[in-house]
Amino acid sequence: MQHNKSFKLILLLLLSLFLTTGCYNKKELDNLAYVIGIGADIGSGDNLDITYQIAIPLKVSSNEGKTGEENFTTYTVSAPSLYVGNSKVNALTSKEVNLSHVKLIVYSEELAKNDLSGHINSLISNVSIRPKTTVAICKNSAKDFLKNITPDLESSPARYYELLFSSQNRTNESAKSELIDFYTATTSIERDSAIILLSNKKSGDDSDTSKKSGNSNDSQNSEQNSTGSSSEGQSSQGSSSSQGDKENSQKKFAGLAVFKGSKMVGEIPQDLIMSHLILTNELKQGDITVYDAKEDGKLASIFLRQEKKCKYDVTMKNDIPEINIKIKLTGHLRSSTSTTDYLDKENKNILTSNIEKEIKTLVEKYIQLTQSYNTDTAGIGRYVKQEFLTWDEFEKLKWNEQYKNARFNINVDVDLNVSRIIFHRISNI
Amino acid sequence: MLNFFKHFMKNDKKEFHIQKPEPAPTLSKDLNIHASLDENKKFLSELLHYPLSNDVQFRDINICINDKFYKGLLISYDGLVNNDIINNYILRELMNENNRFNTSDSKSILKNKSIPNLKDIICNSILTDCQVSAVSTFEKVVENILHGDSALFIDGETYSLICDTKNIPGRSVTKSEIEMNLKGPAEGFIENFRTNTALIRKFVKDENLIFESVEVGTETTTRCAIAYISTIANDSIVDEVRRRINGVEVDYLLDSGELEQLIEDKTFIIDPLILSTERPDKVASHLIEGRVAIIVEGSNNVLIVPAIFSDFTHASEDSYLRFPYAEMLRIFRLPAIFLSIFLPGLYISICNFHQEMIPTDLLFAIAGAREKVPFTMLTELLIMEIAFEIIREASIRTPAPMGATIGIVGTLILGQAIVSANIVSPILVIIVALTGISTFVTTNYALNYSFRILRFFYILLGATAGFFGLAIGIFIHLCLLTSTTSFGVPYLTPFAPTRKGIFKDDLFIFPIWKKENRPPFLKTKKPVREPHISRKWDTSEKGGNKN
Amino acid sequence: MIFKGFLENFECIATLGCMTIIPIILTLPTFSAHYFGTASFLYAVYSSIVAGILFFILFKFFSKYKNKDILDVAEIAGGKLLKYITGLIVVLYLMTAAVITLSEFNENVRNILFDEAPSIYISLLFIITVLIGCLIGLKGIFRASTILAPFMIIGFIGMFFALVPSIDLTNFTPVFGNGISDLFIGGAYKISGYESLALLFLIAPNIKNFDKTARNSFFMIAFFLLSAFFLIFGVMSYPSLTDNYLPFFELTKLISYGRFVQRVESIFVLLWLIATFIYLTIGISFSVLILKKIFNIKNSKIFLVIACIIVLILSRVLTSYIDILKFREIVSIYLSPLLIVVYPFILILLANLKNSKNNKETNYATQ
Repeated sequence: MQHNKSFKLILLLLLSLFLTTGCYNKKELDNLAYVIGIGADIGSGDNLDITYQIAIPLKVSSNEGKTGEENFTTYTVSAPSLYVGNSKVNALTSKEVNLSHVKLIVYSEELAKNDLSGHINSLISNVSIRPKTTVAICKNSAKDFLKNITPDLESSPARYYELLFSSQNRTNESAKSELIDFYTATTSIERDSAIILLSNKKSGDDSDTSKKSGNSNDSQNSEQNSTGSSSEGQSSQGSSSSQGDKENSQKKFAGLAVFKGSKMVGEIPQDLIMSHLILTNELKQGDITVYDAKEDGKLASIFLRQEKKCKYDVTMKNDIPEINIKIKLTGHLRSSTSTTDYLDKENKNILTSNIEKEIKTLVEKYIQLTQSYNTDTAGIGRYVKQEFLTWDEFEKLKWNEQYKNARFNINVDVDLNVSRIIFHRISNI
Repeated sequence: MLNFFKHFMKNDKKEFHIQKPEPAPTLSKDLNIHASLDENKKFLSELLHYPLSNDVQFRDINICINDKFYKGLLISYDGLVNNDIINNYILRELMNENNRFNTSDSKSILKNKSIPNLKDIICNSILTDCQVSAVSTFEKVVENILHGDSALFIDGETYSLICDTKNIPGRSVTKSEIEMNLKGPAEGFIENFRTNTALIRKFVKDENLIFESVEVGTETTTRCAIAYISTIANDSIVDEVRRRINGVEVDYLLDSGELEQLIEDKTFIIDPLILSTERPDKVASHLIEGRVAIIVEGSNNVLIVPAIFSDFTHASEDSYLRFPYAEMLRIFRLPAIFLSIFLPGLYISICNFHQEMIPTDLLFAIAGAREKVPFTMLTELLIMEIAFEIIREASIRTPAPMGATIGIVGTLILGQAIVSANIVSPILVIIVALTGISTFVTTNYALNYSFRILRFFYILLGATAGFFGLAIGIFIHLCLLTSTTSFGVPYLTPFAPTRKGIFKDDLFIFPIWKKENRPPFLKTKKPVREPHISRKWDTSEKGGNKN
Repeated sequence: MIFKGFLENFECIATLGCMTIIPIILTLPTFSAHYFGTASFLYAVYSSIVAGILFFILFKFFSKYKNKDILDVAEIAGGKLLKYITGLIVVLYLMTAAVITLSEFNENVRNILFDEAPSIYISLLFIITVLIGCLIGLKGIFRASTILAPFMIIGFIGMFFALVPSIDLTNFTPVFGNGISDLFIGGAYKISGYESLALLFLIAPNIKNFDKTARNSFFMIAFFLLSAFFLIFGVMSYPSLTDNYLPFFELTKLISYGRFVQRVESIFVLLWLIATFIYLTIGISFSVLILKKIFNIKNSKIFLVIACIIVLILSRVLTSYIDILKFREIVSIYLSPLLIVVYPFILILLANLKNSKNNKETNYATQ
């Protein structure tokens, strides 16, 4: 009897479970508008111009062979914050805006140079936004960038973003630029952040871009536009061939935007991204082209891979840290235009030292540049931090101000592999 | 008008009404058999409603022994008995004047000694039927003839001889139809009690296998047998089974399914608590493990207790197949069970509450497909699930020749049409179909039913509060299951309470030579099943357990 | 014995493990980030060692009373009155912990899952489920956690594999964080991560092998605590952690296996919710059972309902998140070490003294 009673009680309670439910937060999947890209520009007054790029699932999933260009739509609203923007877009669109599938958040350079802290905070505290969303800065208007993306190879613009911004796994042309990293770097005192800088200028307008960005760093930036020219004796030929053949293709990556705290203070040109990747231990696959060991004017392309992390040795000298960086890379000779026999040890050694010199100059340039901005974008402060026992001591060092005074010794060690299935030799006839 | 009304009234009077019954005169069967045959005959014809009940046979005979004629009466139910046996081995022997006792030799023997005991002579010398026994009460007589025996009354004797003449109509042993296996014995139980015990005995050739007889039912008694191997099974389990069956008081019992409900621990728990099988090999393997089986007369399903959750998920095939194959089956069965309970609930809670979990490409595919569907996802899912249940139920009930039609109509046409009419999105059809198919990986249909019910609970919970709802459901379900026992064994053993050997036979399966112990929760008399090394021929260092 | 029946070793271990999850997913890491900064993982290790030593000593003393719970020990130490006082203190503590956990979880679930729902709705869902759990019985709860615990461990391992690439060992430096004395003196007291271990004092008579269970429970809790702290403080860097009041949840948001499996935090939330149900059910059931024991109540079902309603009402009073956090800090950081270590220690010492006195006076063993 007792058992029966408690059973009835349990049943009643179970029933009330369903009854008390108001189905809050229940949203039909097809009644939501999935935002895949958010762009923010400076608007009128205190407002921002927030652009929402919304995918059209019906078109994305249909079988017709459309490319991604027609599969999204954009809305731009003027609102002081993302939250207000959401409700404004809700009024514009027939469906409710959902931010859980945002793949790209892009700010205009202008906005970034003011201050981004408020925006980043609101993004990071938004539960629905993925912390690994890509954050980027656009040289021009973010709205235009979102409107004019050209996903040729895929029908879904979301997949386009995902694949595009994972390209640091394949090339040394872009770097990881995740929201959570950006947020951590802006709040920390031991490092500063560098995120992707995008440009939506067409390839014909490149000279314009270089002029603009030339203010920050003349020599480096001009080199990427003039294919084949060498800046310092040995230089890259193949590294700047990212322009596509198509007329409308954009130059997507234009280097990295450097932040001091949450303010953008400068940019790192694209050819120094590899140094950034090396110093942050994230070089997955990189290429470098150097002059041949024997024959002048001939080039050799080397595939680089970072198998060991960089070793940072920090010594404090009169409160100024001196940092020895040991970089260890593995290289594979992929192609060379010369007939030099790289199975020969001597030739190989010459080539290796060429590569090492090249990388060393790149890294040195990178450090010089970041020191000129006084931003520790590579996060070297994390290794400086290890030298201290307590947080207070480290805080006293004021690393984010000391960075420009720090001394760096760079040591590059490349382990070159010359192994191929077929050694192609053309004898000099 | 008035006429019509009158007519109406008239008609009304003629209408048949069930009258309140008068209590039927009950005859006490608990009487001893009278010495007078006429008295007995009179009483029995009243008791058996002869000749009102037309399948009762009363056969008056004269038994001729030693030239002396005794009046006799043979009673049986036509149809339940084998008339050939009665004709050839009872009537002919009894009525034959030339039987052995009527020859001159025997006469001389009998002359010297008067007939000491008519019963002995008839039983031992005349009747050539294999089982003859004497009973002294009418109750026993009736019980036996209802089971297909024949009762022989002799004038002047206060007993009745029960001759085994059973020939109860039924089908012959066929393939088990519900629990399908590719490998292993295919025979299934039938409705015949004796055949079923024989089928079990065929697999367990052990003199310690006991079929203990118990009877259930007040109006008609149904014979049941508690089967156990007395040298293995734990006595307290057997006692408990006996106690529960003896404590059942119902007027009749038709099938083991009814007995199952009468003796199970909890009625309102959704998962089955007693294993019901129609495969003798399965019963045998469980008996050898130390469990107790209950065979019910007239039922082709045998109950096995105690049963734990993992028993229901196992097929008997698992131990017949080679270890890697069986392992693969087990590994695939687990996610299938998970899917069959949770998939629709998960789907609806993810789609309605946790859209961020769906990979973007898939999300666009689902959203695109749902664009033209007018219903909410819950309605859509319920439509599909209910349709699926109806089709399944219909295909069981339809006569076999039409069953295929239902399948085709249900799956192909309905599925195709419902999608093209934009009532249900194609992805949901995939979900429901996958769930439905997953249900059938377990061979136990009782578990299937429980999955089907639970699935609806989880759909509702998922639709009301997403993963929170699922968490509530899982928590309550887990608590209910873990607090349940089946004949003293916690239902989720060996998972909760955790016991050794989860991986041996419950979650996964180990090679057959690794099954060294009987399940520990049964607390058997012989806990060790086979020696540590069961492949003694393997002369390598570690013996059979090496590989 | 507070409730009937014996518990298997793993049932205890798993239950204590599941209960430890609650402070880990709630604010313990944030508190420790506040107190110890970058040395939080070191703190976790250190407090584990401290807690291990303290509980080892405590259980050594307690081992005389293995088939008695702490109430019986209190009765030996100070008669009926002390038993009542102890019982009421334990009930008060359990109820407070339940109220705080309910209101804190309530707030978090509302932020994570139901930002549109009124918070009473979530509280009701919680409390009804917990009431059902209470009515089903403690045995079921203990066993249910044996099923949940392996999934928790699998979850931790899965998290570990997904997050290993993002672990940055420099996040553990500077090694001593906010100061050596803070860490080693302050940290020795802040052992509230192990508060669920004190449940053993209540269920000791129901455990067959007390020493083994206690040891393994400790390791289970240590595993959860250390791996959680390692992941949280390895992946997230210090200053930003102090602003994060649900770091473990944020951590699960970072999990991704390739492009297809992302944002699986809801699955972890599902596991934690079940763990919360277990935590609350055990808290409420034990409060009622202790009351039942000290006041000899026969039918305790109605008290379960009343206790659930009380917890619900009190959790409704405590709605401001800041207040909840303050309350949590007071109760679980400052109060709980007193209650789980110091108080039992005093009771056991008193009981020992009484015992030895009794033994001297009369030479028969006390029961």
